Formats: sequence, C-alpha cells, structure tokens
Amino acid sequence: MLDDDALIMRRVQAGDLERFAVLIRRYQRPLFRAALERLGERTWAEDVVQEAFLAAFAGRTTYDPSFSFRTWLWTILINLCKKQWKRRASRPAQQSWSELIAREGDAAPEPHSDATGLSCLLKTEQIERVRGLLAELPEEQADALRLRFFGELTFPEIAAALGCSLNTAKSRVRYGLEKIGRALRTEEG
Amino acid sequence: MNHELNRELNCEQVFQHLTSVHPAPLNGELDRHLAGCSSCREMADLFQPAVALLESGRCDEVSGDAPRPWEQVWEAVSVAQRAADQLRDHSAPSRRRVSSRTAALVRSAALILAGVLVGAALGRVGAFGRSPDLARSDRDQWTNPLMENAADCRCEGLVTFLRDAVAHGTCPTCEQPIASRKQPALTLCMACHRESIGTRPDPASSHESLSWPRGNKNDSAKERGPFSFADPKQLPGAREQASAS
Repeated sequence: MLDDDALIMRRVQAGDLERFAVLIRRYQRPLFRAALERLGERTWAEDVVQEAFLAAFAGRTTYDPSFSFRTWLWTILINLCKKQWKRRASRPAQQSWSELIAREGDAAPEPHSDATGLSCLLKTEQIERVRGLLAELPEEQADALRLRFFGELTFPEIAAALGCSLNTAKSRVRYGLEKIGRALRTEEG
Repeated sequence: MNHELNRELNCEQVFQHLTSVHPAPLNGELDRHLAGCSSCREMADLFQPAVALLESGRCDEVSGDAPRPWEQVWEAVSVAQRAADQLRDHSAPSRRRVSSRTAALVRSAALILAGVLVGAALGRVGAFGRSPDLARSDRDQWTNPLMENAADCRCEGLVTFLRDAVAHGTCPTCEQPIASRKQPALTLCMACHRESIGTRPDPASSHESLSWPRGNKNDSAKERGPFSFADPKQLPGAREQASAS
C-alpha cells in the first residue's frame, strides 16, 4: 500500500505537477533545518534545499512510488550537502553581497509576533549549541542524527539514505548520541 | 486486560524508544526495564539530555530561522521546469531532423541486414550450394513459426523475394507495404509465395498470383523465368551439386 507521499508523486508523474507543491510544503522545514546544521549558512542551506526539490522534481519520472519518497528526498539532500561542502572547501573563500547582507541578518533573527526577544536569543543559542556539537562528530554520525531527529526517518530509511546497513545506521545514531551526551556532561561539570 | 501495558521491553526496544522523536506512550515498562538493566540505565542517562537538545534545535517559528516561503521554492521549481521545456522544444526540430534521417538510415541498414541474415539462414537449407536432401532435413528443424507454414517454399526465389521486400519496404509481388518491423518480409511474402506454388492461398489476400519476375502462375516454365519455385533441382547450385556428387 502506498503512503501519501507516494500517491502524490504518482499524481505528479501522471501530469498533475502542481501537487508537488504539497511535498515542498511538507518537507521544506526539516530539510532546511538539517541543511543549516550541516552547512552553517542560511542562504547556502536554502539554496541546497531548493536544489534538492529541483532534483526530485526533475527526476520525478525515475522515482518508483513503491519506495519511500521521504528517504529518496533526504538522500538527495545529504548528497547535495556533501557535494556543496566539498566544492566550497576546494575554492577560496568568496562571498557575494547578498551573502554578506544575509549574514548580517542571521546574527539577529526577527522575532515571531508572539515571541519575546529573549526567547529568540535563547533559541538561537540552543541552535548554535546543537550545530557546534554536531560539527564535532564524524560526518556520518552527524548525518545519521540529523536524519533521525530532524528528518524523523526510521532506522531502515536512514540506512537506505546513507547507503549503509541497518546495524550501522543504529550504531551511528548510538555513538553520536553518546558523544553529545558526554560533551554535555563535561560542560555541566 | 491490555497485555500491551504490562509487556516487558528488551534493550533494543529501549534504544528505539530513547531515540524516537515521537516515542510511543509506555505504562511503566521503561522504568521497570531500566531498574533491572544497568547498561540501558547508563544509555538513558547519556541519551536523554542529548535527545532533548537535538529536539530543541528543530526549526520552528520562534527561532526565526525559518527558510524562505515554500511558495518561492515551488515557483523556482516551476520556472526551472518551464525553462527546461522551452529549451527542449527549441532544440527539438533540428534534433528531430537529424534523428529522423539517422533513423531512416538505420532502418534501411537493419532491413538489408535482416534480409541478408534470412537469406543466409535459408541458404543453409537449400539454395546455396547444399543438396536438396540435406536442405529438406534441415528444413524439418526450422523453428521459426512464420516459416513453418512455408516448409516447401524455401528456395532462391523466396530468398530473392525477401531481399527485395527488405530492401524496398514492400512485397515485390503484391506491393503491399511491410507492416511489421520485426518480421517484415516473412509475413507478406509467405502469403505471396504459398499462392505461387499452388498451396492454399490466404483468403484474406487480394494480391495477384506470382510469376517470376512478374506474371501468372500458369505460365510455362520458360515464361516463368530461369527457375521454378517448386522444383528444387532448378535451384542455382543444385546442378553443380548433382554433378559433383
């Protein structure tokens, strides 16, 4: 039996292209969260997420609805993040004006209408803390944690997205959580 | 009584529960297991603050760290798709021209090759340098279903007909266009050739009877041409075989 995502993709494959917007709306935030954690820059993460949706849309005819769309999409994002990271690492640091402007915006995010400035700052601090802790992990463990807690993927889906066995996927999550847990214990003293 | 409420968890289930974003509600099963399992207790102590921190780092409205509106992403996807369609449509005519020319050449070459291959296969059983007896025995081993009904038709004339049909795209006898790409000549020329040797004609066929190169089946052998389809001894190479043996 096909899940909702697969049914939507079937309709997209049949020509109802507008239905793809439902999937964008559904997955954009968790993908962005993971990409931001992975890449560290907002505009870069937004671009990568957009590229992931573009790739999924362009490859819609090759998608098999009997497989999990969610896993497929997350696999695309993980691979794009890796590729982008390697590409930027091999090039000298360059920034466009729009990136500089966006960077300034990142430092002080606009609060939500119901949120106070303090809660926003606390939230930002928490996010930065998570980002820092994940950055200290080996890449595969950090990706596994992002897929588990941001993507809410099951362990079989994580294994499929990362191209590893089920036991390896569980081990990566386990060891990643152990390291973050020990780091938090050390911080608390 | 609900047995689920009093079930015993194993360590794997505890691990799954502790690493779930939306763990299923338990009724004391977790506490009971942790009370009796020191390794899971240690795991829970390490995992719980880490999981709490990771879950707090999930994107929400309060953080202000929201991505660009999803409508913008969809717009970008749509624009990219439209651009790809435009590029494809723009380049399609020249590609079609080239590909149709190439396809025509490939088709002709394939048809000629098919004809040669069929001719060679047929030649092994009679017309090209082998004895009629041997040809007849080979004939019995023929497995092509289209040729089964034409066991008596294997001869030079048929081979030539097939070659003509393959080369020109029409049956040289009835001049009907070849309908099937896979077995083009066989389908049509079987019908023509069966009629020519006096076997039961295809009632659906409306073509003229065969003559070589053109004519009536009641024509004399001389008028029919250099050889008769029904007489294997008249085949090219048959006389040489007979004199050699």
